[in-house]
Amino acid sequence: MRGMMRDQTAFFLLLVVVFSLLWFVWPWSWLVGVFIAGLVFLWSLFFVSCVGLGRGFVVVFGLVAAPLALAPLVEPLFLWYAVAPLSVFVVLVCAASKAYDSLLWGFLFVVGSLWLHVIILAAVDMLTGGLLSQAFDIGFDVYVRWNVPLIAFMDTSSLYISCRAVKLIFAYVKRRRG
Amino acid sequence: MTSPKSERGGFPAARWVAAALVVLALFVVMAAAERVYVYEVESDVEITEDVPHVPGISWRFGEKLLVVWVPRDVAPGIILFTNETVPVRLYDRTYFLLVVPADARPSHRAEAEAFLKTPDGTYPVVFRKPDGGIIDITAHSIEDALTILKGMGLQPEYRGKAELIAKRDPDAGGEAAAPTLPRRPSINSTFDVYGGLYFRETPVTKTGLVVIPVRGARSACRNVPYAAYVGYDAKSFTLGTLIRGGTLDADLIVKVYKIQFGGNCTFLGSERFRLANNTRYWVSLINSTASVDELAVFVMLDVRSFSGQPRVGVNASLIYTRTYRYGFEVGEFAARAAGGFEVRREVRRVVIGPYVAYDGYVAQTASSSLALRIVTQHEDGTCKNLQVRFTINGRSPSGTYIYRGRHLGLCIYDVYLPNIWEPSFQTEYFYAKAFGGGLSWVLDFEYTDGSTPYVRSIFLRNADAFRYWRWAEQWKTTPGAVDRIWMYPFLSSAFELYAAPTETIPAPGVYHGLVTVRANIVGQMYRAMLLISGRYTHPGSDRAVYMKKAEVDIAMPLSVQRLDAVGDYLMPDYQLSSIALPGWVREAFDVKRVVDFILMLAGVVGRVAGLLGFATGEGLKSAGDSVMVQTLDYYTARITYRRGWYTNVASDTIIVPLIIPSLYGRDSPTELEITRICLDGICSTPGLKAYVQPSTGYWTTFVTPVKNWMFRAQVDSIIAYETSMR
Repeated sequence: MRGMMRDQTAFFLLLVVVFSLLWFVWPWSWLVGVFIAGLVFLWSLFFVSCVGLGRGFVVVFGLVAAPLALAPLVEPLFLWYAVAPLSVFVVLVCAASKAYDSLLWGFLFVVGSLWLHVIILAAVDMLTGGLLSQAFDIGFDVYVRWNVPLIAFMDTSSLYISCRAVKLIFAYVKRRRG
Repeated sequence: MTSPKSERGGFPAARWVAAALVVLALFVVMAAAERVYVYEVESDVEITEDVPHVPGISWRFGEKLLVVWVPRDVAPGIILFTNETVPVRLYDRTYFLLVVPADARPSHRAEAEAFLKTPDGTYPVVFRKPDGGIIDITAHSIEDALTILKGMGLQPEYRGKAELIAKRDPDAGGEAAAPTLPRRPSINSTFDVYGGLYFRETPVTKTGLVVIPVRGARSACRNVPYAAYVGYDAKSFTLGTLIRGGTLDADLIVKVYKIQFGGNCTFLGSERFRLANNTRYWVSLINSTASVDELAVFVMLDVRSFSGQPRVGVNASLIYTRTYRYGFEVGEFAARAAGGFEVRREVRRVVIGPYVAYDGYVAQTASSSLALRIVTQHEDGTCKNLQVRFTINGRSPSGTYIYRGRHLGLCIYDVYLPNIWEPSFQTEYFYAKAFGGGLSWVLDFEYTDGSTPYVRSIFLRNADAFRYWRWAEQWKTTPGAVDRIWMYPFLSSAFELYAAPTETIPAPGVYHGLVTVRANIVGQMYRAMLLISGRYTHPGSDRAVYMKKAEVDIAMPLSVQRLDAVGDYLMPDYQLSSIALPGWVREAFDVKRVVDFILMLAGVVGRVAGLLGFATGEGLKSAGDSVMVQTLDYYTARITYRRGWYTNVASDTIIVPLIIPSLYGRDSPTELEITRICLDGICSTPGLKAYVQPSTGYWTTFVTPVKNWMFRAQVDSIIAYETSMR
């Protein structure tokens, strides 16, 4: 079961990275909303797959991501760009809480994984002479496109490591606590 | 009832009357259609503005011989920026047709500067401004020339080849001028400044008088509608005519006015010319003596007959005298070429351009650093030497050079232009402006054995095709004073770019960009105005992709701290539309602040949110259009424009007024330098200079505010492109 889960996470990691490579040819138009929605959807599935992916999450994250793609058609949906991260965070915490049977543990899992992954990113950034910072600073640029696949790869791979590490830590702590 | 006798007697009488009428008509036609001989002339004198006259002859053009330009040869060429293969005509200032009245009786006692040797005899020739107005006519071929001459009521007869041989100094005009340096003019020096006037293309739908209105809504005279502003100190004035869609028999009437204080005009005089297509006319009434006063000009046609639906286009070329007094009356113009172009065909000519011939060219300041790599298919494993002849607009030469090829599978020729020939540039600029046209490089190349190369591709180095100092809208200066018009200068410096993607593709999209810097009046909040324009076009398609991103770096010898900018779109109807975030995107930013605060409390702050935060945050940030100012160092600021992925404003041009606090209180001119321009990812380091006048140290005197001729060329750039490569 565990092996399956790991494969699933790796599979979604690959999916996020492959999808992000489309950014190189993605048109600078309303379709950028679709790209962002796709990225958020796949990234959310990737993260949640670390604690256990159910079909329900596919639907939930689909619903969370859809307004991002539809915003250019219905302008008020741009508000969802502000709210979406919070809602994804809440769903992730719920998913993790379900896995650990505790809201606190679920919350700590998500926040812990995110913090650990950002520490890894900071280390990589330092080792690469600020390459990641530069990639983040560029943002979505019509002509500079290399940064998004790089961020997607570095973010998901570091998150993959961090969530596995947090899971091991949690398992260890739980064992110690009996 | 009439008797047969009376019928017989009546007929001969009518016949006699008819015959007399026919003879009279023939006589009138013969008298009107003057017989002229047409010679195909090889000259050792370059003909520009002073044209050949034969002393002692007298016909409708006084002593003048008509000059008709015809191509020396036509060869397949490529217009690089449209990827069109077309026959490209190459004219030559030493090859033309001369039209001589058949009954010319020259005075052989007159002092001659040259001799025209024809199969019908030798004529003495002198060169001066044209009698009867016509400077020259341009035709596509000898047949076309004969048609034009017939349209002028002449009866031309081609008589074969002739020679025009200078009496003294046979090399005059044929030598390369010394290379000039595009240095900034020095204070108190006096210059010839070239510019243009632009009139509306006018359809002819009736006989009689037809007014050719000036472009723009305002007449230079309060009491004469549609008059064009000439201003002070104009030393030479040339009109150019283009007729399309039909033919017409008409006179061109030019009326010259003096502008009085208050804006009313008084009539000074008029000149009347026979209208012909593709023809330049010299208007003698506008000269240094007359333009001590402020002048205006009014143009109309007197149409006798027409066929088809003719439209008449009139433009004018002017030379002004200007004195550079304060150190801020000039700007720069740079025309750039960049990119790679797939050719894959046999071509003899390449056309690079046309660029807008920006008004205000200061004579003796032109330069070019044109450089390109021509890749050809080798023959028999060897690379032959390539001979390249550089000409401006396919008319005036700027040198012929031979380049050796490097064999790297294909033959590679690194072609560069050592220097531009200033007299050629002046001649072509002046010629182009008379037709509202632009400037192009036409490269004529062939292998030194005379064969035509098969060109695989051409790469243009990102370099200046043309560059010159331009007079930035100063009319007449009096010692110690600056005209009021200078307070509203337009487009003091301009950068025009043609580029293609560096990766060659079969049907290249071509980028056309423009950046201008305009210094503003003292006391204005915005001391400099930046205009940035760019679009991708695809040859053969109407589709244009508007500029999505632009970066302009401005440096000055002062602090750029607190430099600030706002941005507006210049809409197709010349209205401004401010660059602002869409309403809900702006609201979303407010909501985001609250959400970010909540997430921060939960421990998810900044990049901790990773790809999720990046995608949504940057997605929101890049949805709308923006203009940003970034300080690069103490002296340099970067202005960045980004088009949002959500917004779709139908404009390819933005105007960015700049607030530059460090300019306040300056007592000497300040040099702004555009150090870097990136338009949609195509970057150049043009080093383009513009000068802002000081806050103190000079005073202004008031003259009548007028329309700007500098600005018109840009507004009408589309017309320039249509007319320049005829």
